[in-house]
Amino acid sequence: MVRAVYLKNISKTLGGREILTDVRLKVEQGDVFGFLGPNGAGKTTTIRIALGLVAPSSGTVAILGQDVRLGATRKRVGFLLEADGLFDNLSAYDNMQYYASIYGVDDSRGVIKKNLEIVGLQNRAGDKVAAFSKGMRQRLALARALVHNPELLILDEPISGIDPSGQIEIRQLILEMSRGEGKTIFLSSHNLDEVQRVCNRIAVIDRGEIKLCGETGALQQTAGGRKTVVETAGAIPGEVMDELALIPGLCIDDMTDQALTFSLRNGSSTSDVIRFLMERGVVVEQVKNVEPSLEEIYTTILKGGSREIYDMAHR
Amino acid sequence: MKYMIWLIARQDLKKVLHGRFYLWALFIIVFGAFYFDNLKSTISALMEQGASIDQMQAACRSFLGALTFTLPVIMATFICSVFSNSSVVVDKNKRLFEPMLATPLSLAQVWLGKSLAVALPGLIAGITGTLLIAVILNVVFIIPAVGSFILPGAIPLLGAFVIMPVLVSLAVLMITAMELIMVEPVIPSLIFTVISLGIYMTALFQISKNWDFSIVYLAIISVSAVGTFCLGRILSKERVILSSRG
Repeated sequence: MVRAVYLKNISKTLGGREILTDVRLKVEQGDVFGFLGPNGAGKTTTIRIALGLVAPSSGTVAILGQDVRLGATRKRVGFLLEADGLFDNLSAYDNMQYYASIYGVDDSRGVIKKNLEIVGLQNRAGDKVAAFSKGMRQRLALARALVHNPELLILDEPISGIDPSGQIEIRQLILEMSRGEGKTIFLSSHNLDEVQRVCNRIAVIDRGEIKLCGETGALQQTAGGRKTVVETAGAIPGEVMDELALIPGLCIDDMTDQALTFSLRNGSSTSDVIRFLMERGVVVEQVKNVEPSLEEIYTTILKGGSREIYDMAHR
Repeated sequence: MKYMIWLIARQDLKKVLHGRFYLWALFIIVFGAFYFDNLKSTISALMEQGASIDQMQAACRSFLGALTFTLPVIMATFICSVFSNSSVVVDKNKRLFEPMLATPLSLAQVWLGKSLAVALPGLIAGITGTLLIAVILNVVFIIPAVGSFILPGAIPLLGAFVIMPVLVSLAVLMITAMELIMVEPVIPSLIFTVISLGIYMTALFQISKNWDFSIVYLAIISVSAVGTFCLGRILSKERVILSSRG
């Protein structure tokens, strides 16, 4: 199957400064792909390159298997950019109609009305956009992105500046578009919660370099290191703790009176640790495995990243 | 291709023309007043000198010729400079070009569409305004004085209907391209306004009384054509996007 987004060894230099370095991204059709990175990391430049707005200094770009510089390719892509591109002096309907005409969409079957309904703006269709709140503008821009029923949606910070209820609505919409209509969604954000909730694959970019790329679940399992929490009936004696620290590959992350949190790198298994504790009289009540949050992975990467994470990104 | 250009132009025309018809009326009054006064003085002077009807007709034809040759350009450039600001500079400052260029529209379509939206009101206002002023001058001054309706000569009419649209269109294309790629798009717009003011001032203070406007226009057309060609070569989506604020 043709990849929805394929960026191969993309580099971009602007004013003598390297903005992107050897960026490699593959987004498969049907993915909800989260593109994470702090401000100034290169997310917007990557999106501009993917949309054919900015030419890469080197590398190859293919969108839905075609050259993005072709109008026919861009016709298959919907987008929501940081600048919403809405005309303040026009109504929501007229804004939609303008873009529908550009994409050659015939509105005789009520396409515009349907899309305004999807984003909950059907009752504001006749109102001028100048009177819209940031959240309403964002929803309208999303409706506009959908007006030509694109196969791929590229969304740059779609929930930026939106109130929590608006964020939930947009997140819901993204999920519906992905699951219900099978659209591929490429979503840039610095909101980890948003990405964790909706994306099945992620990439992290920092200072113009891709630091990590893979399936969200798999990354959580491996990149940050799975942690185990052992809940005990009482505090673990100090001498047991001293012995425990000698177990190869065991790293104690936290200890309270009734819980011990640890992670294992190589060698021992969780059952070895539990057996060790029970043999020394510690009453184990419950054992839980805890996946690292995306935030932990992200923070690790931005702090410099572990070698494992780097290797995984470049596998 | 043509439909897309018209689509962009129509959208801009709707936006800029909304509530701005007063500009057209204002220009008619301002420019008309200057020409009315000049023609009135010319006719009075000729009458005082006891000029014949033939001499007065020739003088009126010459006056209308000068008017037809200069006024459409002055009016068109003034109106274009105002609309250029609304159509390109404001849109650029609001970052409307980035989403527009991510659609299937090509940069050439956007450039031509925007230029059409800027040039069309100017051209229409320039031609209709000039014709209106010529008719008023005939009705109010010329017919009572010489007894017949005087038309400008063929060359001034050629200037108004052929040379002026070419000149204004090329100038607008050049200015629009500059606005699209400059970080401060208001600068080309201001240059446009200053040039149109300059042409008006030369006419107002009769500095251009002895100028051969055919050569002036030819020079402007040549510069604009070369400028448009060169700017067209360096115009790129990247330049438009990266020169936008934000």
